Amino acid sequence: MTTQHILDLIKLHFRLNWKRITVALALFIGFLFMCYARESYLSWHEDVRIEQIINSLRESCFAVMIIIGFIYTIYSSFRGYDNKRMVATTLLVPASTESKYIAEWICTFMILPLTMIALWLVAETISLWFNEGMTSFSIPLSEDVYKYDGFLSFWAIAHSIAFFVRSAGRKWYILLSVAAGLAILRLPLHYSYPFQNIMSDSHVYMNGSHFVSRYPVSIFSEQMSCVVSVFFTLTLPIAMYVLGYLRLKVREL
Amino acid sequence: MIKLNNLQAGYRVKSPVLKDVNLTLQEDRIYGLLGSNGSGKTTLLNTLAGALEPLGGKIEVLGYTPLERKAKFLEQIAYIQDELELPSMSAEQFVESYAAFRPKFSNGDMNHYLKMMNFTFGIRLDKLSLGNCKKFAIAFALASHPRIVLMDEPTNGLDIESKQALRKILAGQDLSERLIIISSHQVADIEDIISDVIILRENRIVLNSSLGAIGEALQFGDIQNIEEPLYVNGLKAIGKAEGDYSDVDLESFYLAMQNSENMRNYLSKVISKK
Amino acid sequence: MKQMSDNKPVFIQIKEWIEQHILRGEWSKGHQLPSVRELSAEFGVNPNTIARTYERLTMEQTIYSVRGVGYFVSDQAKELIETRRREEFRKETIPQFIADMNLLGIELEEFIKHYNETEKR
Repeated sequence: MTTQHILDLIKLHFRLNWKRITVALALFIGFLFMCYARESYLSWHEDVRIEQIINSLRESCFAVMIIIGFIYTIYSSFRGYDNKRMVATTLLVPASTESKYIAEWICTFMILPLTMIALWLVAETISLWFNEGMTSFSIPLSEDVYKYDGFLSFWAIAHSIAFFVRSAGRKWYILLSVAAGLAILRLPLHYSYPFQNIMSDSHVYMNGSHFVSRYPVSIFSEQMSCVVSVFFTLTLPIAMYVLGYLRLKVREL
Repeated sequence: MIKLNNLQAGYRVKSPVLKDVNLTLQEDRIYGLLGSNGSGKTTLLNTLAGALEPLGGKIEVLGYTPLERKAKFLEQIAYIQDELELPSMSAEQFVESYAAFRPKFSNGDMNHYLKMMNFTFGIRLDKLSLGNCKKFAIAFALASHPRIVLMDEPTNGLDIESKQALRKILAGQDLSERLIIISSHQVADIEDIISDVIILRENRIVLNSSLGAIGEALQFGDIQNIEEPLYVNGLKAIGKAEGDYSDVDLESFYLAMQNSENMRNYLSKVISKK
Repeated sequence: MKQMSDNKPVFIQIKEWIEQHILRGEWSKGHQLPSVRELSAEFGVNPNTIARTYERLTMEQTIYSVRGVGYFVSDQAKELIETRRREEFRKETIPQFIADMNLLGIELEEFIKHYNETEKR
C-alpha cells in the first residue's frame, strides 16, 4: 500500500468516470440553482419563515445529494471489477487491494461529497449576498447527528449494493451485509434517539401528567444514548466498508 | 517459477474445470497450452493470474499465492485475455494511467511492437477492432517486461502478417528468469515459437514436456509396436528428414494425444522416466 | 525470404536457408553467422530450434563455434555442402525424377530436348 499508488488509482478513477462525475455535479448544481436562485427571497421579511424555508431547502438539497451520491456510487465504485473482459485493467492492476479500496473510498466518499458540499456553500453564500434578509446562516449539516448518520450510511450501503449487483458469486454474503447494515441503522435511530427538546419532538405527547413517546424510547440514559448514536454513526459505515473490503479481497470472476 | 500441486480449478466446487493438476514450470521457456475450446485453458490462466480462486490444492507463482493479489506479484505478471475490453481513452492516456503501476514499462518498446504488428494508431481504445485490441494489449504487456506473460489465444483476430510479427517479437524476448505461457487451439500458430507443450484433455493435464523430449520419445521408443493409425501422424516428420534428427509435427501429435489412449499411456510412461 | 512453409520441418528449412547463403558465396569462409537470438527473432522461431540447427551444422562441420564469440563458416563449408547435395541429388532426386518420367510417359529424347532449350537461355 503506497501513497503513490493511491494517487495513481484516484487519477485513474477520475479518468474512467469523469463523464459520470460531470453529470452528477451538473445535476446537483442545477438543483442548487433551482433552490436558491429565487426572486421570492426578496419578499421575505420574517426571520422565522426564512429559517423554515432554508431548512426545508437544505433537507431537499441534502436528500438530492444523497440520491446523486448513491446512484453514482453504485454505477462507479469498483467499476469493471467483475467484468470478465476487463480483469487485466481493473482487478489485476498492480496495486495492493488496500490501495484500491482506499482510492475508491476517497473518490466516492470524500471527493465527490466534499465537492458537492463546497458547491452548496457557494450557492448559499451567493444567495446570502444577494438577499440581505437572510441573516441566519450556518454550515449545512451542522445540526442533527442523525443526518450525518444517514449521509454516511446511505453511501456505505451504496457501496455494498454496488458489490452485490456486481458480484458473480456468493451474493447472499453481500445481501446479508446490506440487511445487517440496514437493521443496525434503524436500531440507533429508534432506540437511542435522544430527545433533547421535548417541546419540539413530534413523537412525544402529553398523556395526563407525564410524557409519552409514540416510538420506543431508548433504554439508555440521555448521555448514553448520545454515545450509542455516535458509536453507530461511526462504526456502521466502517463496518460496511470492512465487509466490502473483505469482499474485494476474495473477488473472483 | 510456477508450482501447482493437486490443483482443482474452476467456478463451482461440484464441477471443477480442471482436476488434479500437477505442474512445475521453469524459466527461459515458452509453454504452449493446447486443448480444445472449453478444456480449461482460460480457467488455468485465470487461476495463475489471481483472478480466479482455486477450488482446491496448492498454487505458487514466483513464491506468491496469486489470489492474494499482492502488488509486488501483480507487477511481475501480465495477462492478455482472449476476450478483452479496453477502457474509453486514448492510447496515450492509457499508458499514462496504467504504466504508472509498471515500473519496468518502456514506451519505446511498446511502440516498436505496435509498429511491427501494423497497429492502427489514433483510434480510441474502446473503438478498436478485436485484432487491434489484442495487439495493443500484447504490446503493452510485453513492454512492461514482466517475469511471467500469460497469453490466452493471442492469435485470435490477427491476420497472417501480424501473427508472424508476434512470433518474431516473442522469439526475440530475453527470457532469463522469465517464462511465457501461450494458450491456443490453433497449433500451427504457435508450434514454431514454443519450446514446451502442455496438453489439456478432459479436465486434466495429460502432458507437460519439452518438444525435444517428445521428439526423442517418438523416435527412439517402442512406438512402432502400437498399431493405431493415429500415431503414425505424430511421426510424420520424424526420421526421414535428415537421418537421426527428428522434428515433431505438433498438430498431428496433438491429435494423436487427444484421440489415442495408447499414445497417452506411452508418452506418460516415457516422459516420466526422465 | 523468411517465410515458413509446411512441407519440411522448420529446422530443415532454416538449415537450407543457411546452406543457400554459403553455396551462393554470400557467406564465405570465416564469415560470422547471425547469433541464435538474432536468427530466431528474424524467423519468429524458438531459439532452441536455431540452436539445434547450429549444432547440427557444427556436427556436419559446415560451421564451427568460438566460445563467447559465435558461429563461423568453416573453410570447407561450400565443398561439404556441394558434396552432400550432389549425393542427395544422385541418390534421391534422380531416381524420383526417373520414376516420374516413367509414370508420365516422358521419353528420354524429349527430356534432352527440353534440357538443351533451357541451357541455351
